[in-house]
Amino acid sequence: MSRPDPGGRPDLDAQGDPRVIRTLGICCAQWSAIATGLSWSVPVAVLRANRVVSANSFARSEGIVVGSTKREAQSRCPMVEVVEHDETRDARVFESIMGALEDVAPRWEVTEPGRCGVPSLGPSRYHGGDRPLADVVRRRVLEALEENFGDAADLMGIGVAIADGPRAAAVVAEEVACSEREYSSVGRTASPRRARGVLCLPRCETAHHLAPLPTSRISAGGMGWGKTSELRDLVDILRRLGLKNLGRFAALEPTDVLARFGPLGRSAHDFARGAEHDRMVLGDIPENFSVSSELDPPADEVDRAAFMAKMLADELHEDLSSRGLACTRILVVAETELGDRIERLWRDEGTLSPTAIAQRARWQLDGWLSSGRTVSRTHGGVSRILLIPDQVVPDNGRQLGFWGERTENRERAMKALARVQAMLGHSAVVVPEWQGGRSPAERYRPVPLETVELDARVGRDDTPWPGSLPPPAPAIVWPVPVSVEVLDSADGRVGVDGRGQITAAPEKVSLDGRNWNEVKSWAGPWCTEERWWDPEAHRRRARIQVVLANNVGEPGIEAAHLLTLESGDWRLEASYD
Amino acid sequence: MVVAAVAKGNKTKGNKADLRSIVEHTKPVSLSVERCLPVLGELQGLFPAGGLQRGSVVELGGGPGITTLAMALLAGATKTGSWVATVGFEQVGGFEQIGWEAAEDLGVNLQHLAAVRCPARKWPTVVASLVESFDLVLCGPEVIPGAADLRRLRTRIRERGSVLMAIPHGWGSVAASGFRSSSSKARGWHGSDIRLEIRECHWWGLGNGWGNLAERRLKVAVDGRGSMNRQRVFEIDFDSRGRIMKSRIKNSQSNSQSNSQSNSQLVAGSHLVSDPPLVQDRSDVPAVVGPAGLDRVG
Repeated sequence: MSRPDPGGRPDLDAQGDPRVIRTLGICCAQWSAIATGLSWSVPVAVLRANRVVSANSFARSEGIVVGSTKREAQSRCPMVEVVEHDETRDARVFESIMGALEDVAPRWEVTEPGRCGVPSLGPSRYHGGDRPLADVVRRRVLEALEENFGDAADLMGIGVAIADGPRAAAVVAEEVACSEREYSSVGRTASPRRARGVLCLPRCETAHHLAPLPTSRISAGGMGWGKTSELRDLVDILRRLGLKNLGRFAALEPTDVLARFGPLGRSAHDFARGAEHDRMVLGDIPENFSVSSELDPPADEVDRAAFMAKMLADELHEDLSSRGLACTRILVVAETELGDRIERLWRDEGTLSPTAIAQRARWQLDGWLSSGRTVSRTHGGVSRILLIPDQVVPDNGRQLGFWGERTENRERAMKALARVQAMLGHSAVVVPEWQGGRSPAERYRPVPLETVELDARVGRDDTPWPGSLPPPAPAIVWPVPVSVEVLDSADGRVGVDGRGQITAAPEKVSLDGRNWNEVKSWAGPWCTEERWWDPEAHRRRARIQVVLANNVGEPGIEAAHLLTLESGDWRLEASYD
Repeated sequence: MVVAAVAKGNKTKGNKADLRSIVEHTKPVSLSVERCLPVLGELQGLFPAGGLQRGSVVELGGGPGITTLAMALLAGATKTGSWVATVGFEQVGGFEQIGWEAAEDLGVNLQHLAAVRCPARKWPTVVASLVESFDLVLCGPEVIPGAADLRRLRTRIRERGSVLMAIPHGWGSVAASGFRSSSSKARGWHGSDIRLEIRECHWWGLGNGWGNLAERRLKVAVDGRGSMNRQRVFEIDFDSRGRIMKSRIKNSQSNSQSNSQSNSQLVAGSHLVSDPPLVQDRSDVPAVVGPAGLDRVG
């Protein structure tokens, strides 16, 4: 589809290209930290795979930055409250905010929990201009936050922006959200365009506003691009070409960009010059692709409804991909037995995969069925689920791997696992995800299959972990450590003194309380002291490795175990089976 | 001819046998290698076909080291893109858990692994639906093998060409108590095609209050049915990072006398590094035994 170049058509430029989507974007900076619901008077850091993904303003003022490790965060601020990242929680809490915004404008698009947008042309006409609309939206968000979290809403960075194009609006909103606090402290007077936490860019000024920003903003998360790795490559090439900011990138000829960087580069270019318009939507979607399913009896619990959504997502995806299409925007609709209908639009440019669709449907249902109740927007159980692909594009970004992730084996495996989930429930299937830690049980953690994007799992980090045991790793890790007895040669209990020395050499060990095994060799103790500054979470442990001989007297059979002493009790932590 | 036979077969039941023979003849030809799931190069010698034969049940047994051996056998298949499911390792309450880090060290691609938590009474249906689509299913110690369930499962495995690997039931509690209890707790899987039994397990690197666990040697007896029914004993060495270094055949008869003899030899050997490399023994490793290279899919 060719479109006129605004640069070459000054008359169009003056009033703006009518096809450009004026968009209002909302960004709640550090949403994951907000969603934890913890008080803002304590520093909070949210971690995923041992990296800080979000921190509240208190924690950031203490020097905790996003991307730092748990250890760094704790060393900078020992009293920091560390919370594991939970996307479902983020989405559930965000749903309560979305509920408050519904009557301001229809058809909100959520890109991820904490960020959403809406085409602003109609609503702004209704509310009497861009600025009044933005003010109303910001007030509603703050009210909803206040209702949920008390009066700390002022401290949370909430940015509302109106600009040309959904991504531009998201970027500007993020910028506003991050600068909100300094803005208020400087205490500038409000202008008709800019107030605290609000920025409305008039038509055609978006490109000008974006120009000084670094090109790396293209690959910044949360803009609904998907395809992060391709974007990172694009940014890297642009940087090496000397195009350091968006303004210089925007100055390139659109045709040249398309020729050199393909459709993805082209849409990034459109974003940079504030000329994002609706992607080519295939006519009016030639066929009705929507899928739906009845739930009888209506589902009150999230699991069952979400499982149905997963099956629908698979069905939808198969249907679309058999026609070479992919979905970039999807409407998740749930109808309740009492006739309520709730719906939410999700957008992701990276063409939504079935897992992504299922995940979003799950978040939605979780939000409606658990927190939606308190806001009393829904009544009764979910009786029908509908997935409507709202925007469909030719799928040009997916290739079945030769050795890669998307192989036939994988598709088959996923189907079998779906059947197993139907039998046993959604939490029955887990996959390992790297987390890291000192004790063997912490290093990999099991996560439910549905809550992770399989290809985006964090890989093992081979950098040394202070305080962890040397390899080999134990083959069995006991999640609930078993109590054991460790005795010395005089049948006295073996302990570890305050200096970290063992009181006597262990002679025999009983793993089940009845049979005694002779200790052939042992080493240790290795002491760890974790979180000594925190009286509640403080853990002091000493570990020893033992090789035990068989009590039956069979030579040649040795069993190695990892034993842990904590508050006077020996436990079997892991076995080198 | 085929069409004619099919048309005939539709009409009369008596021609079913004819049809079957036609199916036999028109099946695609495949190499015996393709009927195997690959295993790590160091472990190929353990199997006459050079890998885990599709459609077979592999049973593990014996003393400490079972879990490590099971994971080592998963490694080859996951590396070449097969998906692996484990069942019956972690109960919902949380009893035993595979050390995934150890599995990764052994070469398992964790991206291709899914663990299923399954209540004991439901495992036959769950495993049955898993073997439909997974190349390899590892049954953990929570799975109780019943004779009837096993029979049904075996037919399905043979049809689908997957491999079922089983750790004896109750191994979790046995492992916690330390050792093999041949008498009671660990219940075996009867009627397996291949049985790997851990005879010995040795550790190096740990002294009296010093060092840390490092190298390890497992002695594994391999026995089975059909082409596998000659018992052989292998030694598998693991390095200090938990990876397999090498394996070699130890003896080819099942002779309890020679076993006890080699036991004493091994105990006398002080350290893995000081052991003389048994290069001449490697000539005993059968290069490729088993069926001829060209075969039909079974």
